[in-house]
Amino acid sequence: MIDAGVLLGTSDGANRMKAVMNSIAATTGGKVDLLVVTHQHWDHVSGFSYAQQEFRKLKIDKVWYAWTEDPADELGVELQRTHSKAAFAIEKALHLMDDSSKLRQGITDLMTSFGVDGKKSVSNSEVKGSLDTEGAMKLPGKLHPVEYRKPGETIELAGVNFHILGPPRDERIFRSDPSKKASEVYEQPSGKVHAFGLGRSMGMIEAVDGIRDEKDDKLTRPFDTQHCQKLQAIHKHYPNYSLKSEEWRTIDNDWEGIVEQLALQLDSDTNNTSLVFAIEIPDSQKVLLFAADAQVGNWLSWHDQTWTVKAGDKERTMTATDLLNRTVFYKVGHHGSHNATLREKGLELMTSPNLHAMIPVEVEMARKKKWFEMPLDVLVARLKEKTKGRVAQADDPKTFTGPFRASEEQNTFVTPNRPLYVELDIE
Amino acid sequence: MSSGEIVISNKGASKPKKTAPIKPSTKPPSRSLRVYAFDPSLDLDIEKVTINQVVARVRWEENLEKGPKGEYIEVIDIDPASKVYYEPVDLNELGILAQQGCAPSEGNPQFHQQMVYAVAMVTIQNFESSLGRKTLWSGHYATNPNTGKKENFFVRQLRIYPHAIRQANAFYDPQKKALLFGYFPASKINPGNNLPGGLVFTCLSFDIISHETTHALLDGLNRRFSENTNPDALAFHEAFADAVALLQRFKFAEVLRHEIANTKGQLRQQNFLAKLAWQVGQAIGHYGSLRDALGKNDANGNWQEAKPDVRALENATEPHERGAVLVAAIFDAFTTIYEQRTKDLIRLASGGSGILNEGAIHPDLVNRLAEDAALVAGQVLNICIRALDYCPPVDLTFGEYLRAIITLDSDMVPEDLLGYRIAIIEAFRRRGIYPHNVRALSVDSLRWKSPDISEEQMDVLGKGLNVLDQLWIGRGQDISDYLFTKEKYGFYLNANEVEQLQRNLSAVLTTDREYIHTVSNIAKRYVHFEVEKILDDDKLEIRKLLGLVEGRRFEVSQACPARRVLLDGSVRAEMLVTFLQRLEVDLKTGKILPERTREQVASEPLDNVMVFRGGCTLVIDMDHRSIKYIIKKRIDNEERRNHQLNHKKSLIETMGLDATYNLGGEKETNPFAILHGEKI
Repeated sequence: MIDAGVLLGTSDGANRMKAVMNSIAATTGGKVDLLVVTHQHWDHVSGFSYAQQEFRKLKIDKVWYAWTEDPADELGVELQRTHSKAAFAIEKALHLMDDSSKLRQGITDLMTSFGVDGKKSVSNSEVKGSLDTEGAMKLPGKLHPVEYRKPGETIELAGVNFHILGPPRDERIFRSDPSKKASEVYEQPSGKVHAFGLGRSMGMIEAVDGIRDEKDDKLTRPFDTQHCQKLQAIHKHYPNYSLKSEEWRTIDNDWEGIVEQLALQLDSDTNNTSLVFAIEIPDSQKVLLFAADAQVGNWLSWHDQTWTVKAGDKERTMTATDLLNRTVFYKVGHHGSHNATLREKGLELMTSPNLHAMIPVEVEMARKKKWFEMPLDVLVARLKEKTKGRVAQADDPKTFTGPFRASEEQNTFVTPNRPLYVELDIE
Repeated sequence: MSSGEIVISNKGASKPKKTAPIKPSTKPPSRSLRVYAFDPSLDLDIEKVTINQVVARVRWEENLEKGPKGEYIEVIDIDPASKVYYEPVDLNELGILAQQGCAPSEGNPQFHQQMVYAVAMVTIQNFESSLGRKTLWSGHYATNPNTGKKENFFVRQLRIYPHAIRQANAFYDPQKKALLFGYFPASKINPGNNLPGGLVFTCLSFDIISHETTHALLDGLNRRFSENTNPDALAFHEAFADAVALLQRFKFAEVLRHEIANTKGQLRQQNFLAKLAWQVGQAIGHYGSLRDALGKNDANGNWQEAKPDVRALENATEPHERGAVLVAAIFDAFTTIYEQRTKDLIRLASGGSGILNEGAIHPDLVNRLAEDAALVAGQVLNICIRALDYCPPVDLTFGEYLRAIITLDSDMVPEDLLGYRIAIIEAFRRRGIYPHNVRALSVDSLRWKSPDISEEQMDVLGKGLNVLDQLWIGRGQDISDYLFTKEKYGFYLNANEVEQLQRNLSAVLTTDREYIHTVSNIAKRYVHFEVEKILDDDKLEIRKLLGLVEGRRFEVSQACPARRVLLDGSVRAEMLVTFLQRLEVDLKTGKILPERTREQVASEPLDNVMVFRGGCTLVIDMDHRSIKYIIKKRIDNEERRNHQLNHKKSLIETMGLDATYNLGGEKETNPFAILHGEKI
């Protein structure tokens, strides 16, 4: 079992999750060998919260998290702390924004992935930011035995090999966007690429955290107090700024841009903490790849390590290229977005004639969130070429053909006649 | 501006104390103000500290108020992110006046205000002296509360907010007619020579101020330049702003001498004159300047010279990256000309070999080389700026900019004894910048062609344009003819316009910028009225001549005089008149949609529609009463329309990606703010 969740705002999300959880319990007889929780985003963990009662009935042998969640891992703790700090700074800033602010709603939407809510009151010292999502994320670990996985590991379980690919333990974990020429991913030729990756080093968190800080004990204000005049008195020195006729030129809300940037940064950084793994079937050596929401840096790091399997006396060592070559099933990264399927070091290496792909996406919901290129057209086209049309898209039952079998169980909540799940046999 | 709307009284506010009036005979030509030639970080560099603080000479503004607030610039130092503001500097205060302004300092907001004012003014002065006329900011489109109609209001001052945002960013906001500068903590990991986590101010970078002011000036000259109609369009805005920033610094002799001594006059070697935004580049972990016209640092932090590449433009799509190619070309042209001019000096200094000895060069030689470098930089800057008048009115490409440069330079300096034009063409060619519809890359084929216009056509068109003569040149002797002329022209001038024209009767205020703005607006309407009559009965195919089509509205978007001072000191009067049409094209089908009324266009923005513009700029020689050039971008050019369609489509596809980053979901976004995200 890998993740469970829907985006906030998905219609009837809770009921859907309950139906899914019940179906899983029925199919498995209430016993699950392994649950992998890939990363801390609402659309990946909300199921544990929405369908908590149903989930609690499952007996799960092991729960895996990425090393980034490990309280004993120094780097992981550091990362978590940075993310919490950022979430906290953003939440604080949200409270300072006017209700009329256009950015506020957008940022709030984005931050719901972290359980941050602009309406909640902030207690000053406590980092309250990511309680909800964090709670949902941690729930499986509280109920069942936990293991934290690192890249390079291979674990034999239930007769198959799990090779852990990501998240990386170096700065690539911060890299979410393709390099300028965009040749690493399936980007449009004239693609304009943002490089927000610099943000962390620029002290964005500090910048956001100190916004409108009256005490200014962190020295975030640019000048000594002697130079600082109270904003309310601005007409004394700059009468034009307060003129009604000049209102169109004021800049009272322009500071909000940085908050938006930090929120976006935090969002893609979290995607990059995705636990990525490949399941290898020992006899056929076929591989199933689950990329979660891994972005560019995560993908690139896979190629720097190898995995070793003991078969009797012999050892078999394989590279990421080997694994990709033998991949017959690919869970498309990050709902088919522009920066979560590498080209040359990714999909183009998946050369098996038996490749299948699945895109877990709900286009309607993505549009609502203004993710217009999710899934990305050129990527879907290439997937179809590589798989000879064997691409199943979660919200499109028409694609559940050929080897994909639609379940008889129906998802009655949103679209009648939509199957609850899809089945695929791999030998 | 109506004055009844003041919300807060400014009694007792910042009115400058009237000092004794200055006698005409002692009126200073300029105000000396200390600024950083680069940015504060070089103050910590023992090598550069002596040249980093320079004195800018800013035109003397008699009525300069606290702020500073003058004729062109209004600095307002509000810092909303810190919930405070900083008191404005009074540059007329004796203590400040007597010591060339406040001393350069990061910790004194008044110096920040002084620096943005001084550098912005220097940039404006360079534009005005190159264009031979007063510059205007782009007008403010708003509803006139008295008439309820949309009008193009005069904007006297560009606002500058030196501490507007907490962000590694600075931009020109075309809606607010303002420059917004950000400040941010330097990188804690790779801060260069900045204090890790210490604050970096974009408003203290000479380059960034020049760059952003140039964006505003360019927008004031032609607001269509910021429409993203082809891959060169926004890149041009960036490149031009960078080129101005680079070349402007050559005016500081001490900086020039220092860098020339360091490189022994070899300006192709790595040097600070070619670097842009040193501190900001370092502070965001670039290991070097933000941009460099000569080369860049490799992954190991070692500087590498960039070799010109004829295919450079093929891969560069991002505006700054693409613009960098044009900047490199301009800098290359400058360097070639400088080398040509100083060859003899190097020969003299090297005993004829042309190869200088080891060690430092003689200070006299440094001085002579610096003189030439300053001269050439000034000339190249001049060439670059004035060519703007000869660019097509919409959808500009780099190649067309080259043609504009060559045309205007050929007109103004008929004999190119020192090979300036060859150097420019060569520098552009080496980077693959050339127009696609010329036979050869020679001066002759690059020049705009004289228009093929018959005597009858000239006659008819000339009559239609006569009004320009009366309004602009004749100083309104017959202005009464234009007042209260509903019968003849079908519209009235409003009270303000009448007043402006009457002021002009006294012919005193011909240089007042508001007057220029108003008369320009009036002129556009009269020309429109006259030319519409001509086109109604278009036997002579004037419409075709102007690159327009039948059955669509047209607008006159420019009708202003330009004065050019030639090398021999003679003055040439020209008039620039621009006619434009717009089509709305369905993005999906590529079909041209039926024309909507002006009101509909203004009030109902359409989704999935591209606006396609075409028309021409007439360059009229007022001395010879002839049309010199018709710089055309035909509206019925299908190939161009398809190019733009494809460009827009690919932009929208990637804008889809941007949508994840653009949470506000606003329709009207600021092209420069997005562009400058961490790139300045």
